Amino acid sequence: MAVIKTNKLTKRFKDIVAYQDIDLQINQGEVFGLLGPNGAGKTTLIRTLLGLISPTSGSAEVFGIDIAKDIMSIRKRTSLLPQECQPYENLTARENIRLYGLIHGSKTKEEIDHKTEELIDLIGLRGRENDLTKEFSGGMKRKVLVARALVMDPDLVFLDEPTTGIDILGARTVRNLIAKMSKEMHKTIVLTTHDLNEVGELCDRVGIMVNGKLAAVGTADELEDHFKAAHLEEVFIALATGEGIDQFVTSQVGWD
Amino acid sequence: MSRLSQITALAWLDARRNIRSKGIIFIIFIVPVLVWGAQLGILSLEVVEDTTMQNRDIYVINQDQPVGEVAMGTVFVTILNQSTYLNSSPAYGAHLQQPAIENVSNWGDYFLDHEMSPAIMIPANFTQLYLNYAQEGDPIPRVWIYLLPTDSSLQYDIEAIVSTITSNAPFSLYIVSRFVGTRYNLEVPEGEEVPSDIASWMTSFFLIYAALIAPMPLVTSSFARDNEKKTLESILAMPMSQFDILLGKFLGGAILLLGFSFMNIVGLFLYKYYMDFTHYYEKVNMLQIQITLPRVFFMFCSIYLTTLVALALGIAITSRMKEVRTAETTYNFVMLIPFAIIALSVLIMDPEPYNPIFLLPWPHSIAIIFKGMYPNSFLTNTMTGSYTGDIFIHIAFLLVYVFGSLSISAYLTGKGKLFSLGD
Repeated sequence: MAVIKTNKLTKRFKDIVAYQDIDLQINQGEVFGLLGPNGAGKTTLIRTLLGLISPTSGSAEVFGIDIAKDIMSIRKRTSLLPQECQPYENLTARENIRLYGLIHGSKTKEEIDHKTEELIDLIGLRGRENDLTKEFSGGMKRKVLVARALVMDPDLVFLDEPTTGIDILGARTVRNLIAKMSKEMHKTIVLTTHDLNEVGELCDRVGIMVNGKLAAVGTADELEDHFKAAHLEEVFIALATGEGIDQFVTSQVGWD
Repeated sequence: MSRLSQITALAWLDARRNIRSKGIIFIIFIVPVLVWGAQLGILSLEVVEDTTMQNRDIYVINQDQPVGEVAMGTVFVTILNQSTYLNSSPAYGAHLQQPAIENVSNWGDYFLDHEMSPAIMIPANFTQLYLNYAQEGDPIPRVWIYLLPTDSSLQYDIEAIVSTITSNAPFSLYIVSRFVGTRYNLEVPEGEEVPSDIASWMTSFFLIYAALIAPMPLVTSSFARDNEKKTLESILAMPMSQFDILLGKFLGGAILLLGFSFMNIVGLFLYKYYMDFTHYYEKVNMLQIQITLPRVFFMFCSIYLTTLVALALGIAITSRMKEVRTAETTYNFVMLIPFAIIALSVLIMDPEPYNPIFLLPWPHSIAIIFKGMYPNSFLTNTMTGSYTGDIFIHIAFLLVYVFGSLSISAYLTGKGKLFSLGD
C-alpha cells in the first residue's frame, strides 16, 4: 500500500525549478532513501509533502489524503526531523521530547509521558534526561531529535540528513535508531542523506534526484545492475554529472 | 488532545526555554526595578534649594466659612505656619502675612494691583466642600495660588508647599490651581487637579516606554531565533494552524511578561516608600503618590496589556523574519509608532478630558497609570468619566489589538505561505 504518491509534482520559485514532474510512490513500512547533490530539491520535496510549501503544479497524496485538501490529517500521522535541526538548548532532553509530543497533540498526556520514558531508555540517555541539551555532544543532541520525532508514534517519519555534522559514533547511534524504527516499530521512513553507506545499510529503495528531477528509483542492487556499476556511488556520480539520466527512466521496480 | 492543549504546550515550551535565558531574566525581572531606580536618579536632578522661600513673604487670605466647629481653612493656615519653622519643609524661613481683605470680585487683579505675591487664597466653601466630598466626581476643596509673572520661578516651590500640606492628614483630597498674573490661566477643569511638576508625569511615561521595549527578546526568540537555530521547521510541521502557532508563541511570551508587570508594581512600591521615607516629594515638588490595592491592580493590568500589545504586534510582524538582527531592527522600527503617538499625546493631552488621543492604547495606558498614582489628577474623565469604566474599555481595546494583529498576520501569510522556508 502506498503511503506517499505523487503525480507530476512540480515546484518553481519564480524562474528557479526546485523539482519537476516528480512521480514517486513510497510504500508502507519502507525505508526510502532520497539522494541527490545539494540543491537537488530533496528538502523542498519533503516540505511540500508536509504542506510547508505549496506545489506549483501536480498533486500528491499521503496516506491517500490529498496534501492540498487536508494537510492537518496528514501531519497528525507524520513527524519531521529537519536538516541541521537542533533541540532547544535551554530545555532538558526529557522536556524536548515530551513537549514536542504534547504540541503534536495526537496522543494523550499519559501516552506521551509513557512514550517519553520509553524513548529515553531506547536512545540511551537515562541518567542524562534532566540535563539541558546545550551540555550535550552533537551525537546526543541527534539522539534527542530522533526521539522527539518518534514520541508522537507517527506512521511516517521524514528524516532530512539526520547524520550530517556528527561524528562517526554519533552517526552509528542514529543509524541504529533508524534501523530499529523500521524493523521493530514498522515506521515508514523517508531519509535524505549524502552518505551512501547509510543508504546501503538502511534503505529498501533509493530515489536519486538531480537538478530537480527524479533521475532514478529502485533498490541499490537494481540501480547498480542497470548502470553496470560496482557501487551505488558510481551510479550517483554518473547521474549527478549528467551521464545516464536519459538512459535510465524512473521506475518503481518491484514495488507496485 | 484538544487544540487548546496544543497551544498551551507550545506556550509552555517557549516560556520554559526563555525563563532559562539570563538575558531574558534580566529584562523581565531586573529592568523594571532599575527603571524605577533610574527615575529616582533623574528626580534627584530636580531637587530644589530648601532655602528658596527663606525671608519671602507669603500672603494668605483665608475666606473659609467654618461649618459648625469644623474650620479646615484655619487648619490649613496653622499647618502652613508651622511648616515655616521646619527646615525639611519647602516653606522653611518664609514669613506668613495674613491681611484681612473682603469683598474682592477678582482676586487675580487684586493681587496684581497690590503686588502681593506669592499669595494663597482659601475660598469660602473650602470646609463645606471638604465635608461634602464623598465620592469621585464630587467637587474637591481647593486653594488658589497666585503669582506675579515676575515670580513665576517660585511656581513649583509654592505648589510644593501647598501640596505637602494638602496631601497629608487631615487633608487627603485637594486641588492646587495656579493663577499667574491676570492674563494667564491654566483653565483647570472644575474639580480637577493639575500635577505640580513634570516629574510626576515621568513615572507613567517611563513605565510605558519600558513596557514597549521589554517584549523584544521574546519577540525575536519566538520565530527569528528559532529560524536561526533551525528549531522552527519541526514546529511548523505540527498539526496546528498558523494562527494557533502564533497564539502559542504569543502566550509563551505573555506568561513571562506577567513577571515583568509584577516587578513593575514591586518597583512602584519601592519607589513610593523611598519617596515617603526620604521626604523626596517636598524636595522635588511632586504630588504624593496615592495608591490603593484596586488601583494597583488596574495599573498592573494596564502595564501588562501594553506589553501584550507590543508582543502581539512584534510577533505578527516578525514571524517571517529569518534573522534575529532583522527582527530586532524591525521591532524597534515598529515601536516607533507608539513612541511617536506617546510623544504627540504629551503635546495635546494637556488638561483636556475626553481627548480623542486617549482612544489609542498607549496614551490611555499612561493616563490609567497616572490616574492610579494620582487619583485626583485632571485625567479623571479620560473617556467614560469613571476609572473602572476606562479600564474596561482599555482592556477591550488592547485585546482587539492583540487578537487583531495575530489574526491579520495569520490571514495575510496563511495558506501555507506564512513561513515560506524555500523562498
